[in-house]
Amino acid sequence: MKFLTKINRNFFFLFTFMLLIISVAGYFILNAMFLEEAREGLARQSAMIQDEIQKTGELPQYDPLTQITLIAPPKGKLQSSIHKINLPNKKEDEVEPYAEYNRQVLIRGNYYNIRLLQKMIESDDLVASIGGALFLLLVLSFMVSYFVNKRMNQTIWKKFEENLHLIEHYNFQTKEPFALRQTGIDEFDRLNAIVFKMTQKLHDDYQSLKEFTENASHELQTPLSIALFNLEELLQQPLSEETFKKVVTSMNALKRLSNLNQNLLLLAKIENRQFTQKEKINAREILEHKLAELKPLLDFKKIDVQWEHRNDCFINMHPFLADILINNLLTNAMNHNTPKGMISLSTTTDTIQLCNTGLPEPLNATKIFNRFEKGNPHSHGLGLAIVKQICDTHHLTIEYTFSDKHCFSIILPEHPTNKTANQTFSNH
Amino acid sequence: MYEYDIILLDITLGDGNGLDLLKIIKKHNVQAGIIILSAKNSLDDKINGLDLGADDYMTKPFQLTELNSRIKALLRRRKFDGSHIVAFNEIALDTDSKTVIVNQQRITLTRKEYDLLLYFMVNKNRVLTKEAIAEHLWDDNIDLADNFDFIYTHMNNLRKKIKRCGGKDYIKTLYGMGYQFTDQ
Repeated sequence: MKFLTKINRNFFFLFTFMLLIISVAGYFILNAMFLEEAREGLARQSAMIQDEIQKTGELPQYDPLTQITLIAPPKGKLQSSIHKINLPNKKEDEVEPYAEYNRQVLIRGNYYNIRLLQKMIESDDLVASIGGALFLLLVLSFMVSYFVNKRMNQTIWKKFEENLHLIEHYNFQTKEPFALRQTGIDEFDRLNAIVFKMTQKLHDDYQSLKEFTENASHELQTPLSIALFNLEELLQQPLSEETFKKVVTSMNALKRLSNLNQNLLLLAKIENRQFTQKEKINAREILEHKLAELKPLLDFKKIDVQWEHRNDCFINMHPFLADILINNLLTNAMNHNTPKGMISLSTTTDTIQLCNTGLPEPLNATKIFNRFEKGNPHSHGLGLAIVKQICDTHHLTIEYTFSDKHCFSIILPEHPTNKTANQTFSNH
Repeated sequence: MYEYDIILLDITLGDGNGLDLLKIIKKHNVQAGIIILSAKNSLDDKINGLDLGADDYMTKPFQLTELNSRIKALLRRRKFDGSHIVAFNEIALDTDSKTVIVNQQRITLTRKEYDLLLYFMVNKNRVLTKEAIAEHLWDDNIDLADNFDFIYTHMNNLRKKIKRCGGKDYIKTLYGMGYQFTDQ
């Protein structure tokens, strides 16, 4: 809910509540006022009647709303009172409220009671008029607040919204400094200053982290290269079998180390989202390309490749990552296969699936994507971790299932079963 | 000024970025072939380097034999004076038409066998490890952990095909871990 809407809603509730109280109070106050007004009028009227009787000495003939009766002398002081009473109206078949005014007077030694009736406003009429006024007020205030909001959105909140938009679309990859617009409103400008300071710090940290990972990789790869060069040169000398094997083993160990370093670096880069440049990639094409590349190996291992569905499957991804994703899944399916086994592939608009024959029992689905979880002792155990990381950073779901084959499925976010996940993401 | 055939350019130089140097080289219209050597396996650097006019890009650590192959390949591409023929005794390999002639007879090799033979011939007399060969034949991204048998099979097929045309077997196996293409 927008800030203004929230404020308005609160204001509106409060306003309604207040109006309700005011109208209930107003009802009673008005009732009392009307009665008081009636009392004043009737008192004046009774005084005039009293004067008339005093002057003429006889009881005047009045309308039925005025009754003058001779009464016994009252015990205390002469009293006057006003009540509200309901009298039936036969014509309209309803009761109508009247103010009944009684006043005891002493004229020429005789005590009289003057009773006067005056028609009052009906309560439902009163309620209706107060309710109507309330409703009108509400509608009016609602309209006013709506237009005021609209106007404020265009003026006060506009720059704030623009800044929000800037923050939303800010990417640490960009080298330009993060600049928010001045709003001219103290609170917003303060917020801008804080956000600016924070992002500046984060940006610097991010840059140094990025540089660190790359530099660390470089600083590791260069000595590795030197060691490898020297070992390779050593290999060219006449060597005994024992020495030869030691040199080769050392070279392989160094290469594994370098490979591990590169893969860890790649993982860090994916985690840091350093592959921003995204393209529309067709997974089917990459899969076909990789298959062609691996065909000699697959033929050699007599692994049969079958396509279940062979449709276009478009993913928005950095081409390098897409290549690694498919490559790792496919080599995984190949390396953990059985001789004369099979790989079945499927690409649809919203899924990519690779199934392979292999060990007869399922793998530990929670562990296989962990780093250094090795399927065989020669691998570095990062292939599937990289796959998972790529999927996670691209909001793709990866699932491992086992029936008679080991299946890895990537589900694209457009897929209905994945929609909720996608929606929660879009809310961020 | 000297004229160089090949420039090996390290991106991370002591006093600046190799890519900047590459720009200067290209500005001076130097005709040399350029191979970038980098420790950074970052695609951006690779694309930048190739866009700036480099001919090849190698990520450290690489093997000298691999570098040798790339240099020779670049030389072959650069020169148009018939140097697209790589010859070793009775074996001649035409890198343009990708054909192999042994004792004046043409032999048919698979793509991988051809790559393997070319790699051997370019790096003749050098000791090559199984891993170096596997790495050359395949993308470095492919986890070749248990696929060395494949290379062995290819090696044997290649030997047979050359022998069939009366060629000698120049592929020497060293303690089951390395190979050498030599006539010594």
